[in-house]
Amino acid sequence: MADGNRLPDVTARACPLTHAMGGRDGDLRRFRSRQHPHQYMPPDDRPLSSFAIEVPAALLARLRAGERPAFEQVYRWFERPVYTLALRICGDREEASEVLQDTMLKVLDRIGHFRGDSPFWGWLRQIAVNEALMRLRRHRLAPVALDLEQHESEDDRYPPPAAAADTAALQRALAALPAATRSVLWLYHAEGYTHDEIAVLMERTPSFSKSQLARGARRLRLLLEEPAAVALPESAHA
Amino acid sequence: MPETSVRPHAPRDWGEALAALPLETPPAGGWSAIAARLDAHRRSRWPLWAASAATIALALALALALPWPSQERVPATGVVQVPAASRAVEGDRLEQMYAQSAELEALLGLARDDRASSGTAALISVALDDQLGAIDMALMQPGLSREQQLQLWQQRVEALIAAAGFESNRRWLAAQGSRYDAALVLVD
Repeated sequence: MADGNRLPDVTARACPLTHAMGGRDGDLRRFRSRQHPHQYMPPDDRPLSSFAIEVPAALLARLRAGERPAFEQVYRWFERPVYTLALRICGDREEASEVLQDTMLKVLDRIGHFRGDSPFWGWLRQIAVNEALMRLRRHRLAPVALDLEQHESEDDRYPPPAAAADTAALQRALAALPAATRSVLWLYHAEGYTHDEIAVLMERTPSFSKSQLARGARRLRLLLEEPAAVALPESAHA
Repeated sequence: MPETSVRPHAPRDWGEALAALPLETPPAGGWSAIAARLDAHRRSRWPLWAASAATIALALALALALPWPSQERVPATGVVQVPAASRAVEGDRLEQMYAQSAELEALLGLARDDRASSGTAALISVALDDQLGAIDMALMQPGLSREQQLQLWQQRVEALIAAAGFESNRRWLAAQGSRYDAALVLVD
């Protein structure tokens, strides 16, 4: 592995673009201003996706030309965002690794179809989301979600409990959620997809997305405030 | 495992809480696995020059393995006066072409796989079948002279060689994970 290919710290909060521009808030505004009008544009108070890494045109040109080192560099930059997204959706590290591999091979295979009128990271992220959800559907005929029969509260609009500041506790709580519920939460809150977009991606309705978001937030709150209350009913018919 | 932390203040919303989670690190060796798959894929690709070479080699092999009648090709037009002494030889040639034709048809049956095909390959296959069908229709006409029969059977053998070569090539490409269409457009 060439260390030179690895970014100093490729995270949503410290991506190369952010480092280069020297400040988070200014970075987000400048980055958003370059986005395609149809591309995801989160409101200013939403965190930026961990995928939001600007790939230089020269590197893309080398990728299109089939240069292996260029592909390796793109792989190094995006392996952690793709793996994290896949892990949040699939809930399994082995499957997340396979999603990472399949996503990157598809990126290389389809790079000729990338027109360049939207950010490359958004195009790559779409492939990763599709791969992860497809794998979820393939292995679980009906992705398990929280039961929709009960009355929906608006838990997702209330601030999370203080315990959500503990990343380890939050990760454990997320892992305890049903896969479809966790996917909706992650796609909406962490990646900034809308309910309509999530409905299309998951082959469900926007109402399903809204319900899962509300119930997922409620469950997360319970898991964080009362970790003992983990054993809540799940439904595969949602 | 990702690093964990406890922030000094509670997150404002779920978006901020989830965004604060550290990125997960995939298992080591991911790039090596990708590179290995790329290398394997590259080895399995079937370039046009190789596909052409295989077709030519198959045609040559068939030509060498089977008695080739074209050295004594019958004129396309006119009536050939065949000496009585050579009629037995011509009879043998016709018998030889019957045998060649049967062998090639058996080979074609083995090589052909209709379970899956690309559009281009299917069209070529149908065109070759049509050519054979036209020859068979001509052979069924009554009153054909011996020379006409020889000529038609010779055409049939040649059409079968082309069809068997095409189908064998297509099977070979399929075994390599490629398609006839891809071989037609591949330039490396």
